[in-house]
Formats: sequence, structure tokens, C-alpha cells
Amino acid sequence: MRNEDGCLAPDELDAMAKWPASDRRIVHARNCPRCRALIEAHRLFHAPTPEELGAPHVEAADAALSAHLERIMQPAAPSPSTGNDSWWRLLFAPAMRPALAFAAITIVVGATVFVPRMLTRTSAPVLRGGSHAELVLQAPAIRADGALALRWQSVPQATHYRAVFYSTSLEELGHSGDLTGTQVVLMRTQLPAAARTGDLLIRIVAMRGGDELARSQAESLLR
Amino acid sequence: MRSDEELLAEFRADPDGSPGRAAASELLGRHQRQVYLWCHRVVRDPERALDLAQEVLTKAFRSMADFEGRSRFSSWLFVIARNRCLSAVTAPSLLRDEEADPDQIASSGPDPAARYEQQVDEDALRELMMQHLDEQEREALWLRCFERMTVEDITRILDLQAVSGARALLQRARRKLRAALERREEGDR
Repeated sequence: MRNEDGCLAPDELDAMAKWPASDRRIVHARNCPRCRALIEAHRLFHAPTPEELGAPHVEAADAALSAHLERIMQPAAPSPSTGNDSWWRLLFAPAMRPALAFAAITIVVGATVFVPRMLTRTSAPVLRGGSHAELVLQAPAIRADGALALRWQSVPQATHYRAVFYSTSLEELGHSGDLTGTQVVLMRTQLPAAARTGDLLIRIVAMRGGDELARSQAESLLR
Repeated sequence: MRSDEELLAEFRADPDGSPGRAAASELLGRHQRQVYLWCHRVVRDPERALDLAQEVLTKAFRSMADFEGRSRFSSWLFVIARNRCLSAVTAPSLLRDEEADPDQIASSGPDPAARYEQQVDEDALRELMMQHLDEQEREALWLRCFERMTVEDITRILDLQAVSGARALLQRARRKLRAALERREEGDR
């Protein structure tokens, strides 16, 4: 039913109008539900129905999107720390030399004592969550029916959450759809294909619209 | 009115300057309604659609310098919107779909379909689709579950007479699939 090799690529959709009807890609598309769905979606994107255009929420959305575009087009504010008193000049000023020496000693001691310990650690690797620490994901659990159960603390102002899956080599395997509650049970078939077997690291990301509000530390799931 | 290509050229000439940003803003603003309506078509919720449309426009702006011009700008935007929306919605299950199968809502007690779904691999379900469904049933179920199409769009793509026809087709396909699973389970005992 699905021919992965012969299917249209989205960037071919404009060009296909110029292809002859006998073109093998056209012939394939005529009989392939995936290609027909893509062509129909492309057509609908460019030609919304009058009902869609006249819906009462469209005007408000237009105004909100115009405001959004205006926001993202604003150039970033220039950094105040430019010129002769820039931060690196202050850092290397004579008065800072004792502090720099102390920092250098700390780094050397840290590298000598802690790095070998870290290298010999046997537990599963854990991704750290960057600057956001307020989102806590409880230990993930596999239920008797094989489903993955996740539960986390809510984050004020979050509109939705997303579960992100990583391999133990820290490669991102995919993520869930938008989750509106603070717990979810995902059947095996609902996980990204690469995350259905083997050990995993899982992180929850709290979102507000398109902005990331907070992210949990990654919790390991050993299977 | 300047064409999309002219606005793109203006943006590329000075992407960080004021004229470049103004051109990008005009170009994206020209298509923002299409993006929003597409998102709304998929998620069917104005607030969620607005969030998604904002994400799509932000991503498009950040990636605009990478647009190679192999298609129309609007088609490139379509691809971004489609990919974002598909990842934002959960695909309807092959065995249950309350939106398309209203009779599923009325059922009470433990749902055997849910039990099957937990036990049966998606690949096995696809194999059963090939064995037990006819071409039209397979296509309808494929479009609904893997392409996440609305029942209305499936009606149009499959040239069916009415939306009720697509619903009936989907219901029949799911019933056949559930029956095939039941038979398979009995055979396994």
C-alpha cells in the first residue's frame, strides 16, 4: 500500500504540475494514499475553504500572529558590556589574579579527583537539565501490560508538556505529542519506534505555547 | 505588490538589518492566515492552533536563510506547518477512534480493543490490515491513522458520496480488524 521509494517529496509538489500525465511519479501518486493525502493537504493549505476563512476566530488569530511577528522581528538588544570595560578585561585585571589562581587550582584538583570517579561509575548516564530545575519527573515505570507510565510536577503557566526520549548514548530518539496533564500512560505503540525497546532516558519539557518554560532532569528507564 | 521572491531577495540581502527584517515580516505576514488555518484544520482548537502557528512562523523566520528556493515559499511554509502539526497530535488508534466511530463511545466496561492494542505490535496490525481489509478500507484507515486526516478530507480523497460514507468505511474496517484479532487470539489459546 505504501511505496516509500516512489512517494512524492513535499518540495516536488509545485513542480508536479508541469510533469506529463504519463510520468511515473504521477502514475504512482494516483494510486498511493500517502501521496494523495500530501497533494490534498498542499491544496488545502493554499486554498482554504470559505467556511474556514470566515470562521469567527480567524480575525483574532490574525491580529495575534501579526503581533507575534512584530515581536520576533525585533533585533536583539545590544549588550551593555562593550568597550574598554568589557567583562574579559575586568576578569584579567591585576586585582583578579588571586581569584584566577584559586580557580585554576580548583580545576586541576577537580580533574584529578573527580574525573576518574566519574569514568568508573556504573549507573546509567543521566542528562542534566540545564538552567531549569523546577520541573520534577518521578521515576518512570513500566506497567504489567508493557505501557510506560510517567508522572511529573506541574509547572505554573505551562500550557502543555512533552516527553522526550533519549538512548543511553544520549541520542534523542523522539518525543511524545503535546501532553496536557501531569501524568500519562503511553502504550508501546505510542512511543517513537526507536524507544520501544532497550534502556532509555526520559525528560519532560514544560511548554507555554512555543516557548520552553522548564525541563526536568532526564530519568533513566532500564528494561 | 512585491512578489514572495522579491521579498526573499530583500531579506537575503540584509537578513539582520531593518529592511531585511521588514521584508521577512511582510512575507510571513502574507502567509500567516494560511498557516493558522492549516494548524486549526489539524488540531481543531483555536488556542492550540494559534500556539502552533506562532511556532511555525518563528521556525520559518529562523530558517529562512536556509530556504533554497526549490519550491514556492508558501510550499516550504506548508511543509514546516504540516510537520509541526503532525507531531503535535496523537494519531488515532487503528482499533478505536471516537471521532470517527461514534458507536465506540457508547460501549461500556473493559474495552477489548484497548486490551488488544496493548498486546499486539503495530507491525502485526498492519499485516492484519493487508490480510483482512479491502483496498478502500485499508486506504481509509491508513489516511486516518497514519496521515491523521479528518473524516471530511478522507471523504474527498476517496471520492465518497458523503462524510457518513467515510465513517461507515472506517467503522467497517475497524470491525473487521477487531474480528481478525479476536480470531487470532482464539487461535493462540
